[in-house]
Amino acid sequence: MPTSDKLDRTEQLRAIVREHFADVWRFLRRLGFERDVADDAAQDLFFVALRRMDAITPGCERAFLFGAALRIAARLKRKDARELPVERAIEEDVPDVLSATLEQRLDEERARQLLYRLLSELEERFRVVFVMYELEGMTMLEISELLEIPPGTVASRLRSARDDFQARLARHRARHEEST
Amino acid sequence: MKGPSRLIHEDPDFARLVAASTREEPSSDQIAKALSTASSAAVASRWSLAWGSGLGRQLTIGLAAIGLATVIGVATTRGGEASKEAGATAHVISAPLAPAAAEAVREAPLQEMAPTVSVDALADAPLADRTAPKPAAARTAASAVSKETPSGGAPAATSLQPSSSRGTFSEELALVSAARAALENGDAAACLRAVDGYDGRFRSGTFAQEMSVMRIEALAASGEQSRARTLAEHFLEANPKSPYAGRVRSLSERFPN
Repeated sequence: MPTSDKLDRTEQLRAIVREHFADVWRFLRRLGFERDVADDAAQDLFFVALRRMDAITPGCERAFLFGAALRIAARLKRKDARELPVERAIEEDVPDVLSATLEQRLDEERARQLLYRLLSELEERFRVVFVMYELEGMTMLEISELLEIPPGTVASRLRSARDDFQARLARHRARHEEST
Repeated sequence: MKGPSRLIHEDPDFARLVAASTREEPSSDQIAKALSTASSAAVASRWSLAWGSGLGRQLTIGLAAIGLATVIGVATTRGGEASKEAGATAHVISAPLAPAAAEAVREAPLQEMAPTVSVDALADAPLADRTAPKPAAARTAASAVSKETPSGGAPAATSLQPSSSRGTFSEELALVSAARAALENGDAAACLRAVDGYDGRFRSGTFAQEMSVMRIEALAASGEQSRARTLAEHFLEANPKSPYAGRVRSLSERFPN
C-alpha cells in the first residue's frame, strides 16, 4: 500500500478519535463511571474499535462506538467498577447549584456532581435510556436499535426515567429551599 | 417515532446541569493516547487487509493479527513506554486491553459491519501475551514489518509521517507531557517553552491541536489574554469541530474584551 494511503488511513482514524473520543468518554461518565474508570474503558474500547473501523459503514461510527461503550459499561458494572456508589452519593450533601444564579461563574464541577448523583439514583435500565435521550440527544429509534429493544419499551422506560429524575430534582430543590 | 420534548428545553436547571456535563472533557493526555492508538491501528489494519486480500483465510489472518499486535511497538500506546530493544524491528504493545473492551467491541451490531479480517483474534489475545515478547510471533511479525519498511529499523506502527520514526514520536509525546505537566503546575513559561519546542520541530505533528490549546491556556494563565484570545479565535476558525473547541470557547468567554 502506498505511503500516502497509509497516511490517509492514519488520518482517518485520528479524525475518528478527535470526533468521538470525548463523546464516548463523556457517555461513560454519564452512565456512572469515575474519570479514571472512564479513561481506561475509553482507551481499551478505542484500542479494539479502531482496528475494526474498516468494517464499519461510514456514518455509523458513533452508533458503533456507543454500542461498544454500553457493553463495556455493562461488564464493568458487573465487576463492581462503578465509581459512584449510590449509597454514598445519596448521603452526600451536594451543594446547591440550581439557585446559584447570583454567581456569574457556574460551579461546573458541583453541577456535574449533582447531575451524576441524580443519574446514579435512577434504576439502571431507566438511566441508560434517559442518558441516551436527554443527554446524548439520540432519537427514540436510535435508542431502540442500539439497545435492541422495542420502541414501545424505550418510550415506557423514558417516561419512567423522566418521572423519577424530575421527582428527585424537585426534592433537591425543596431541600435546598428549606435549608435557606 | 417521535419522542417527547427534551427536558433541556423544558427545565432550565436541568439544561444547566447538562451543559456542565457537556463541558467536561477527558484530559489531553487521554486524547493523546487515543491518537497514538489510532496511528498503530492504521498500520495493524493495513497489514491485516493486505493479508486478507491475498489469502482470504480468517485463521491465517487472525494469527497474523495476533503476531503483529503482540509485537509491533507503538511508542506511546497506553503508558508511553517505548521498547528499548536495540535494532529490533518489533516492539511490544503495552496496551492493557481489557477483555471487556474486546468483547464489547466484538459484540457491536454486526449488521453495520462488512465481512472483515479476524481482528477479534487480536482482541482475544491475553494480556500477558501483549506485555511480553513471544519469540516465534515476534520473528514472524518482525520479518513481515521489515518487508513493509525499507529501512527495516523503524516499526511501521509509528510512521505517522514519511520522515517520522518511533524516536520522534516519543519526543513528540514527551513534549506534550512536559507542556501539560508545566501547565498543571502553574508554570506557564515552562509550558510555553515546551510548546515552542514542539512547534519548532513538529509544526504539523500528531499533537498539533493539543499543543495549540495548551498554548492558549498558558498565555491566558500568564496574563497575555489578548494573544490568547487571538489564538483562540484562529483555533476555532480552523478547527470548529475539534474536541477542544468547547474548551477553547469556554476559555475565550473568560477573556476580558
